[in-house]
Amino acid sequence: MAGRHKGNTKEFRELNFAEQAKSITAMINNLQAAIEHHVGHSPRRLETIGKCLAQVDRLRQRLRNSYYQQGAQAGSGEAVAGVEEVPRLHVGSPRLAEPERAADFTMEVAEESRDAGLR
Amino acid sequence: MPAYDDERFAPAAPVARVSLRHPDSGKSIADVPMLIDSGADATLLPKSAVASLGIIGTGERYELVAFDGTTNESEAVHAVLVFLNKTFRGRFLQVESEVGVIGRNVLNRVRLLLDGPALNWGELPPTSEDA
Repeated sequence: MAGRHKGNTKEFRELNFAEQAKSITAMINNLQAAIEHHVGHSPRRLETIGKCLAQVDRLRQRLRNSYYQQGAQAGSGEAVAGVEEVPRLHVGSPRLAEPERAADFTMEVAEESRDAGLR
Repeated sequence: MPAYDDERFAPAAPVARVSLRHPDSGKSIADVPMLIDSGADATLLPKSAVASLGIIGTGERYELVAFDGTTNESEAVHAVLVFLNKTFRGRFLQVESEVGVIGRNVLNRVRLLLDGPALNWGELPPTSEDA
């Protein structure tokens, strides 16, 4: 892991477990501060917020997928300790609780001149 | 024909990459992944995509029910979705996910082939009844 820790005397891997935990907390706090600073100086604030949140979401998803796969590879079906089992099931198919409001979602459809839809 | 997405979904699922536009400014983003979901009543856009376009919610809130009966509220937005060379202008809901959902309010306006064995999907040619 890049960077030095513990008063610039150790690499991350050389820290003991508790020191690594503290270091991770500090890095997360630094990441939050960096994002807040970046958003604060963005000429397109909303776009920057959306991108940063999406990056954090993807990081979280990668970690969860990684530890879930490790749990699956352990072979016993046991979850990795401390990690919530997250199957890759996408909960889709949302229904409107008030079906009578479905007409609100009627679309105005037109042909698009550019070939922008099918990718 | 676009391939099913087997990275985010297991089993693989049909996912379209659409463009979204701000209805007033015309600002747009491309390559927004959207699950083709014929079980969905409405179409839901990823919140991050909505935010990146600077689209503000209408203030109208809709309650959504998942397959297991759990409910969520979502605020509506006005946007333009470009899918299969058509623009769909209207009201959309939002979802806290990097993948949106194309529901039947859009799917019922197009002809699709879901080729499961080949793990791809595409648009069917128009019929004489479409004219």
